[in-house]
Amino acid sequence: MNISSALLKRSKNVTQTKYISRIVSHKSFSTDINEKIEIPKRIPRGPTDILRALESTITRDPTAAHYKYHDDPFLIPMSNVGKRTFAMAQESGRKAAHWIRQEHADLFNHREADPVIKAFLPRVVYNEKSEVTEDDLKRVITDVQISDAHLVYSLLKDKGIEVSQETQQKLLELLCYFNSEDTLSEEFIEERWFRQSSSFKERQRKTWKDGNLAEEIFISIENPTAATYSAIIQGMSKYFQVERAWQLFEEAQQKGLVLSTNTYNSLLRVVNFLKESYDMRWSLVVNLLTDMNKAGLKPNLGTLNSVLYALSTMGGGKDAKEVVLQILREFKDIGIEPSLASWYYVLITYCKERGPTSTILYDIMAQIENKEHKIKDLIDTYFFVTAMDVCRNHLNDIDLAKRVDKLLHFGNNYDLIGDSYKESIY
Amino acid sequence: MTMSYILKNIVFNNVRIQWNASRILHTSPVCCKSQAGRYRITPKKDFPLTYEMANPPHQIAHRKSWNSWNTTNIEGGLRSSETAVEDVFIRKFMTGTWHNLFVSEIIIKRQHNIIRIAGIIQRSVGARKMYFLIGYSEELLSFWLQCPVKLELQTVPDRKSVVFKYI
Repeated sequence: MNISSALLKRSKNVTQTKYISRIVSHKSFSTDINEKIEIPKRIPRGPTDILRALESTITRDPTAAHYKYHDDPFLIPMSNVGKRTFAMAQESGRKAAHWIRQEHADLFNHREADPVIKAFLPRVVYNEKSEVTEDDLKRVITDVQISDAHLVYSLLKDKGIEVSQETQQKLLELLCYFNSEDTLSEEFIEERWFRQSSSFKERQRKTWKDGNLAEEIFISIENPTAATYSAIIQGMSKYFQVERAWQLFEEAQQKGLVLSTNTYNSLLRVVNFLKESYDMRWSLVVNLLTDMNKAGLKPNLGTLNSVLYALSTMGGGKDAKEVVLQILREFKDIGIEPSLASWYYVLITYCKERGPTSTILYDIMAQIENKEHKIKDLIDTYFFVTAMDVCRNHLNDIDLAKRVDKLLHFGNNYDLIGDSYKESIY
Repeated sequence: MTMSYILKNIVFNNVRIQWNASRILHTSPVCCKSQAGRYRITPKKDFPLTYEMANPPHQIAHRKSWNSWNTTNIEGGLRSSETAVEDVFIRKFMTGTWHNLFVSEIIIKRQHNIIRIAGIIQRSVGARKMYFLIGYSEELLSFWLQCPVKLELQTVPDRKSVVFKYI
């Protein structure tokens, strides 16, 4: 009986479904005519897009150590000192390997990989006797080997080989950017991560080497162009040789050359070394900005940050604060969104140690919350430390501190923590 | 132990050959006892074996796994001999650089162009020195083999913690 009833039920079901399917099919037939298959437009994908998509599905484990450390109870660092020691030990091991490769360069010249990967091969050593061409110079410039570039350039000059204007300009830019000093290779991230903490204070005094190769090249270039002037002025103001930079700036102005926006930005940055009183500094800033306007240059984010930086060094007077807001508004009108660095300057202008309490961080947080920020300025990395410091010492507000922390852990914002020193303070 | 064993074997074989020459025909069954990768019981039963050593080769893929992971020996695989030689080099390099530290076999896994080297080490040197060695061997091996090399190590307090049984 059971079976027969079940069968009956099934047959009923079948008829029902048939009926339904007929209706559905009928309906679908009628709509099919109007329906069009729309092939979606092809979305162009980059080579790492799949990896990014996969990566977005997993989040960082807040309890685990950074993945550069070995996942083993014995090898996981327990303190900040441990973190530093272990990472630096690994880095020094890598350096030892580099040294061995460089010492026995002849043994490491086999070509296993196809195509040859340059990073695995030992670096070419140049000395006084080596035969060099302009191509060598170009190569060392793209590889950012400053002392080699220096040597190759002088070799070329000794042999009387002409170096093209373009290469000279590139070399000048390289030397100006790095102040003719060798930098730490980009491979050694750990050392960079742990080193930067001390360099900010050092940067505040003049470190430009007078009469270095960059200046020599600058003099040797006949009828320098605007780009040449821009490079040397930017280099000089980066390393606080302000008087010479200003001289050159005036020289370029007299010749009627149009300098780049970034040159103006770098000059705006060193305004407080050029003039003494706050009023004079401000008038200089305004002058520079009007100059830019006359030259028909469009300001960019760097300009905004430089102006705000100049303002933040002008004390916490009421004027400065008002001007800060005014500047932010003006730049917003021309479509420049402030980056975290801009907010950092606003914070340090408003929240001085001595002075009235300011609640500007609330307004800033309302602007930047729940967004992913990308690094646009070197100073961007100072924002989170300062914001947290303001929460703790200035406003004593734990809710706000939690909001700042949430923002830091939103998306990839943790990339903006800066270096180890800032991370530990935070 | 193994050396003397081999020598003994050779001597016996020679004797047998001489016998054969004289008798021409022999009726005893052929001794094909498999010996490789097996350990003999010691009289005092105090010879330590790791799990890897305790399992004879026919247990590979049942109770234990391979020491080299790569696709060179399947049909259409590339660089099979080079890979074998490189693996020997890596093993020699690792045991030499990490002197007296490895308490297990060195496992070499290859995926695409990455080589991952795994193993168990004992904590007889400080963690800082270990990190130095990690950085050094990763970098030098990748210079030599011209591909990214990664180390995946686990530490144990001492050699005794990897002992599976005594025979």
